[in-house]
Amino acid sequence: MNTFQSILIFLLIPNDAAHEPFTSGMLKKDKKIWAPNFFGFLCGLNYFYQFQKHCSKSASNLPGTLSQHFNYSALLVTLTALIAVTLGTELAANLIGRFAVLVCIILFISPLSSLKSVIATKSAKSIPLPFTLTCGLNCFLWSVYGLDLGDFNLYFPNLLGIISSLAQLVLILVYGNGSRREQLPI
Amino acid sequence: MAYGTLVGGAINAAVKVTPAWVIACGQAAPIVSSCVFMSPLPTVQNIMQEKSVGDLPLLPYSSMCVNAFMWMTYGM
Repeated sequence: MNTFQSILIFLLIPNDAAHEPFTSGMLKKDKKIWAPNFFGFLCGLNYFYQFQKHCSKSASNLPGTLSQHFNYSALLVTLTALIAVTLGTELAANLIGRFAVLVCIILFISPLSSLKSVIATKSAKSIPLPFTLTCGLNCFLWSVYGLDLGDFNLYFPNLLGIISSLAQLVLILVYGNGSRREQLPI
Repeated sequence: MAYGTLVGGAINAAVKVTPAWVIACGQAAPIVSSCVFMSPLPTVQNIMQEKSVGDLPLLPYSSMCVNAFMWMTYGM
């Protein structure tokens, strides 16, 4: 089975949470979820804008180019908005939830890509401790909230996030922080 | 007495009892999320001051946009 098939199956398997009485038939209508993410979206737009203002238009190590980032982001945002507007709410919540889970998994796993260099250099100074701790706490809180709601889309990626944070903490404990880190991680 | 127990049982079954610490986690989650979203601010201020991005990646910011938009739509 290739990656594409696995993703397709992951997106199409039924979501148990959608059949629970208090979550059925709508996108979640939960201010605790949309309000901080609305803020995050605005923050992200601002960072994106400031970045592209001071970034060479020919840069290709972002990874990829500026226009690729812009095009793919715009495409995904438009697709999400279209799904939310056109499909039935339950189906839309399912699909968007699953897509968001995929993006989350990639986001939480990406810090582990530094694992190789940490082990090779025997120094965990590229892992920022405060950020790892905050992310770990964030994932823990959302996992508890998601488990309380019985919302798979909420607790599953956050449980993975906890594991990712713990793995980074273990690396910091094993290899230590070494000297002061040279540049900010994000 | 039996009636009271029955009604009490029915109410207990209908009302989900959530422990206080779980409610507290639910309340704190959006605040901590906002902190995580603000965490790149020093880096971005640095970029603005130096008028150069150096070799920092754009991926954290573009993925933050997309991810936050998806969760926002999911929660609406």
